[in-house]
Amino acid sequence: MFSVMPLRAIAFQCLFLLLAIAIEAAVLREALKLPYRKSVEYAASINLLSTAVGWLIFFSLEPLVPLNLKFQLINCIFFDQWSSSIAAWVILAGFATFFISFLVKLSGLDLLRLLLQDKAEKEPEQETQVEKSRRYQNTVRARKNAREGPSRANAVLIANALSYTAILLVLFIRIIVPADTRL
Amino acid sequence: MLDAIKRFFQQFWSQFKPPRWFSWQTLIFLSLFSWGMSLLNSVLSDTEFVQDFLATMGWIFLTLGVGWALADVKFEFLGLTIYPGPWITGALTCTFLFEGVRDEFPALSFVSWPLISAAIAAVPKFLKRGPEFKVPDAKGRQELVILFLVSIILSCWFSFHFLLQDWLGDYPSILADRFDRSAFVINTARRRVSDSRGVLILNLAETAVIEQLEGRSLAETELWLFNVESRVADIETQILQRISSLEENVLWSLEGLVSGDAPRYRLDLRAVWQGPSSYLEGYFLQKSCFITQQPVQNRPAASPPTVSQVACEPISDLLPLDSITASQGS
Repeated sequence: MFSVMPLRAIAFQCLFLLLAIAIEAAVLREALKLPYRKSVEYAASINLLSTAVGWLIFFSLEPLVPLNLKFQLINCIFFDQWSSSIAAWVILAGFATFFISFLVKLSGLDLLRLLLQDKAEKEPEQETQVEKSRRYQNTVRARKNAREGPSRANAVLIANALSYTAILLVLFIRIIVPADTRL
Repeated sequence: MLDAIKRFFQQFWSQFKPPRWFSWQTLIFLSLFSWGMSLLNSVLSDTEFVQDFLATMGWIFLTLGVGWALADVKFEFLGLTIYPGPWITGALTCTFLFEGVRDEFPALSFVSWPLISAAIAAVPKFLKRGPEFKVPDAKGRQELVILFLVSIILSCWFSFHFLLQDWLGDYPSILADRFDRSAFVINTARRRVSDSRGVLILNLAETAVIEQLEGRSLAETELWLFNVESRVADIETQILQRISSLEENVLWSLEGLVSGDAPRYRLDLRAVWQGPSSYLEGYFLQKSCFITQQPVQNRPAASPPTVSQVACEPISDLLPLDSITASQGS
């Protein structure tokens, strides 16, 4: 029962997570002007979240796939055989994964900020905002935007794109390395 | 003698005596006591309820005691501080909770282990001195978020492992193939051709062929070999009904190829696998049988001069299926 184990999948997932967290932490730190520790924590949280969501989507879709596609899936997982009929599906799934993970990471970041907000920090901010007149509020917001650089969505999009590029590069290296010298 | 026993127990007690009554040693003692009573109960009477109840209490005390004992144990690894306590407590809890359904759902205790461990690890963060409930501070909440996400991913890995086991249960012949190229799995056991159910099919086919041909006259044998396709198809249907019905049965087919010339024929029995495999077109296993004519010793008047004798070779290794078309083409 324990002779066949998905250890390579786990190793690859760990590698990709570390890669993505490192890259996205750097991007978030630059774009959102976060301290080092916070940027790594944020990047780790959103990447772990998108990985977990990805697994849950996989497990909920797996019982629904038709038998033919299931054989292809088994072929890919056990034998790394990619037939041309599945290639189109893989490319489609790749696009879907990119945009779903972007949405998950963006909403994950918002949720995380909400969750980590201290009540003590939040209240004075609200008070000062009430005090400020509307005329000034717009200019303050514009200045704040200018100071923060691109918006949060933009930052997450760039971070996601860069980490996916890195992961694709690793996968490409895996393809060109001869099979008998691999992991 | 009595004195010695008394001294032994005194020493034992002074060694293991709980420092305070409210301590983890007390809980471990309680669990041992419960198990002892449960064992005594099983010897003296067989009230199953009392016995189970005491064993359950013992298990709960053990879990709580171990959790308490390991609360402050930690070690450093790659700059991370790891607390093994919740994981061990979680493992004990899962073993205890899912003991009854282990045969039906073996995955359940493994999949829930990281989640339960994370929940156990989270409890102290919600308590303050008193003990009273508190909401953890921002740093604590960030740690909790990462802890729970990591434990969800760990339990997804366990689910994935058990999904693969389910697939291997439905398609066990996959195990006979090589997993070298896989980016997902490794096989720690040695690859064996005998894991392929083609071996079973070919052995049954050999028996059927011997049963049908051995001792027949040359004419009957040649008629059989002339109709080899339908005969082998009959044998295939029989075999697939006899072996245990698994999802992979539809992926197996049996073929027979006749070569040679009278009086010595060769019948190649091939179990063809059209399911997932490391060979692009699939593979087959082959068993070659040689059908020869033997003169009949002191034969009755009506019988033929010679009868068929069937001798089969051992089963080949996996052979890629595209070579079948190549050999037929040339």
